[in-house]
Amino acid sequence: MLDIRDLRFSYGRHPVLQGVSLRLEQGELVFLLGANGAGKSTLFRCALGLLPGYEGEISLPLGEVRRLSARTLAREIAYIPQNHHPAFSYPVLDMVVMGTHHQLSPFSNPGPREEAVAMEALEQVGIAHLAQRDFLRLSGGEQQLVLIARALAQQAKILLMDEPTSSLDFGNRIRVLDQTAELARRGYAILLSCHDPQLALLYAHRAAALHQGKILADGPPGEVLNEALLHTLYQVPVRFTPTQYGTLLSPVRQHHYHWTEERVAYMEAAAERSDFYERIAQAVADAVPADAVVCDAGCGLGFASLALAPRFRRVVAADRSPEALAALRRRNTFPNLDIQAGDLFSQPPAEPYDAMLFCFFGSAEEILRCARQQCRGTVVAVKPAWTRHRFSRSAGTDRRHGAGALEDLLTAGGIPYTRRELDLRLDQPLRSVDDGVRFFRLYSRDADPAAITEDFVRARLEPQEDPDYPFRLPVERKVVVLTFDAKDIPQEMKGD
Amino acid sequence: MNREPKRVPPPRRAAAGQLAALGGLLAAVFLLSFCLGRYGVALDQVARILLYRLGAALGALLDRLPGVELGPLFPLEQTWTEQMETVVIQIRLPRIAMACLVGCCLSAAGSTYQGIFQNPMASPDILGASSGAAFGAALAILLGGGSRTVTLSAFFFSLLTVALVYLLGSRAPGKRVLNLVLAGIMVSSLFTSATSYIKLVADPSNQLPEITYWLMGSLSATRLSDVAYVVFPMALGLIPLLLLRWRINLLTLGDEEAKTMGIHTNRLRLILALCATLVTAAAISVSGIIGWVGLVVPHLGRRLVGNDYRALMPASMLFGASFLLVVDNVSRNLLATEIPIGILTAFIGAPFFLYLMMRKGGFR
Repeated sequence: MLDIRDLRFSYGRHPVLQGVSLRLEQGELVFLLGANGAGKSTLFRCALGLLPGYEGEISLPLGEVRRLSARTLAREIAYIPQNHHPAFSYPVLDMVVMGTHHQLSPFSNPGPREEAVAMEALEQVGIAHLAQRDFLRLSGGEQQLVLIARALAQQAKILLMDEPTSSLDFGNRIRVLDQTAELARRGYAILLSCHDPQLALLYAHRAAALHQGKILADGPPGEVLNEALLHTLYQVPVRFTPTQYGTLLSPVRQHHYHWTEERVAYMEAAAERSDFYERIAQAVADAVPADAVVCDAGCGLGFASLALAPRFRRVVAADRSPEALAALRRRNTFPNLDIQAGDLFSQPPAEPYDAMLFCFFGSAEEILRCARQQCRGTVVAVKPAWTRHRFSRSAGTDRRHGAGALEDLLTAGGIPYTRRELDLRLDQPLRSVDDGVRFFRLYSRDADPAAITEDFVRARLEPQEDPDYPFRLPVERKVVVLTFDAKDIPQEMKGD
Repeated sequence: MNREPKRVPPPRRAAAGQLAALGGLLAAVFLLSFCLGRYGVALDQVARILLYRLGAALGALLDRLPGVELGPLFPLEQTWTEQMETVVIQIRLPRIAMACLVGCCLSAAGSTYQGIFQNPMASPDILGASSGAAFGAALAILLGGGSRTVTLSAFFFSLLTVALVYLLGSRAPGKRVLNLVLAGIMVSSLFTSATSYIKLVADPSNQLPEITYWLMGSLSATRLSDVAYVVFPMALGLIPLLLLRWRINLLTLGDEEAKTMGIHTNRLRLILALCATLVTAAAISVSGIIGWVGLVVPHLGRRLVGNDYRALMPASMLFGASFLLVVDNVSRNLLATEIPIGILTAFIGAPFFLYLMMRKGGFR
């Protein structure tokens, strides 16, 4: 019914659509997915004849969109806008009657026939009882249904819905989509833009993914939607979990560690006086030949990278935090240490790395995905062996990803690995007891860090022979080192 | 679906009733206005005079047809004095008719502008019609024109200003509605300062008071021939406004939405703006600047019949006519000397608008 072929459109010099092809058949409910600014609205506006300056073809049963008058277009294709606030409010029935405009002669007003059409449309979406209510006094979900009813009164067979669920609560979202699915069943061809891929899994006959002006994928949502596609579209990790109720899609919280000046100073003081990173670098050197190019993924302040640099041909230290990298640049003297800022996933190397170190890096899934994408040799993952948060008064658990999840995933994927435990320490030097209190309050996960007292801190400190740092907080850092080969990671992991 | 025809929904019936009530109100105010004045005429005499003269006029019209010899249609016994008839027909009728026409036009134009600009604060001067008219009138007075010249000059400058605004607003890149409104504000202020300059250089003994008086608005000098002159452009604007009124509803939803429902938004807005401007220019050129009516009356109409222009447009017209007629009656009867009507409308309009603002529920 709607056939878009090689559609191109630019706003001035800024290209928005770069060769989009998409078909919509009778009775089909197609979800258009894509990030903000991907071009979904532009695609809609082209198809509705609002942006005639496009290249390519948009065919409707009666002809090419550009060649049809506004009146004919209105008969073919109806638009259901995002929920909005018109300057003036009308009774619901009057709102819906407006959809019949293209059926009237130029000067005539809608009469009983058009009102009957409107009432029927209201009945179809199950809100005939709202006919006399004021549009602006309805709930968001009811307003959305009124706009759908108006499109039905327009009696066009193709419906374009612009993010109908974006401003709705949990329940209304489902009610509106149930109604939409029912319309598709009755033969309407519906193209719907949506920001929630979970809803596409639940309702869509087909899902089309629009990214940088192109359709990246188009097909049944269960087949085309996967972790890699959603990561490309939205630049965030998403977890797919098959359940008895269908696939469950859950976003993964991005852990951004914010390197404040204070945290940088504490960490530097501790790392400069500890063999922690030397021992980790040595563990990598035990498994990787010296002529390798090694990536320290999520390097933080880069102490591991600095320890790796004398041991390997080249080291790439990558992190998202500009503050951490600034501290590393200050300290770096190695010509073979490259510093790379930004998201690792979006910056794959020209040649895959020979080895990668993931030292306290994100989730097990992220490590495997990144390693598969960017590494051709040994992968070394360093995970904490402790589970309790050590700088809190209460016995909270450390939320960092432990070794267990990664081991489970490696086992499930049939990936051979070796496991080592290292008994390391990273003691925290402190200038005074007050400094210790500050440290605890900074890192505590307690509900009320102010409740940490001097006595609590003093009991944990040890004196030491250092004029700058007369105290030390002993910190055991037992870690698990998992080593495996990136070539063993299968292309399709479970849960992808 | 096979069902018996849907019953007419209650609001529409209610709107019809309210329109009838507004019509009745206008008829009552219209008749009563003839009785008011320093020379009192009883209501029954007014009715008789009007009926007789109407019959005579119609009869004279029909007599022009070949073979028809009717004479006056209602040969009433003449129970009124010659003086009464002169007062009612020569003095009060033109003024009352003009008040109705001007009120009707300003209100219709105001509600149209509010709709096509999706802006509840729009009034007939949004595109510069009144500042243009003011400049035209002031210029004509400065150059020593008579009252007819002043009227014509006001009318043409009013149209010219709006044409200029429309040209600028629709050429500029970006959002058209916003551009039109901004161009309206800019061009208006340009003409307003030009008017101020004319006042500065005008002869303070006779021209300046005349300009000032014109700017305050008045219907006191209205003659029957004036009414005949303005009725034509007014009808030319009001009739399309009435015919297209339902389509204004669609324009208030915004251009993109209206287009997807088959409206040529730019064309429709141009036609509506043209008609609204025509009636505004015609009204202002005979009455001078009368503010507030075009803003307040449509809002009262919205309160009464809702936002649907099918009911709102006629309601605004009827109520606008009654409102300005009442205000004009106050203007000519409250004090021994006339109060310019432009002052009174603001006096009554401003507090009313504040009431609308403070009222529970706010604007609709």
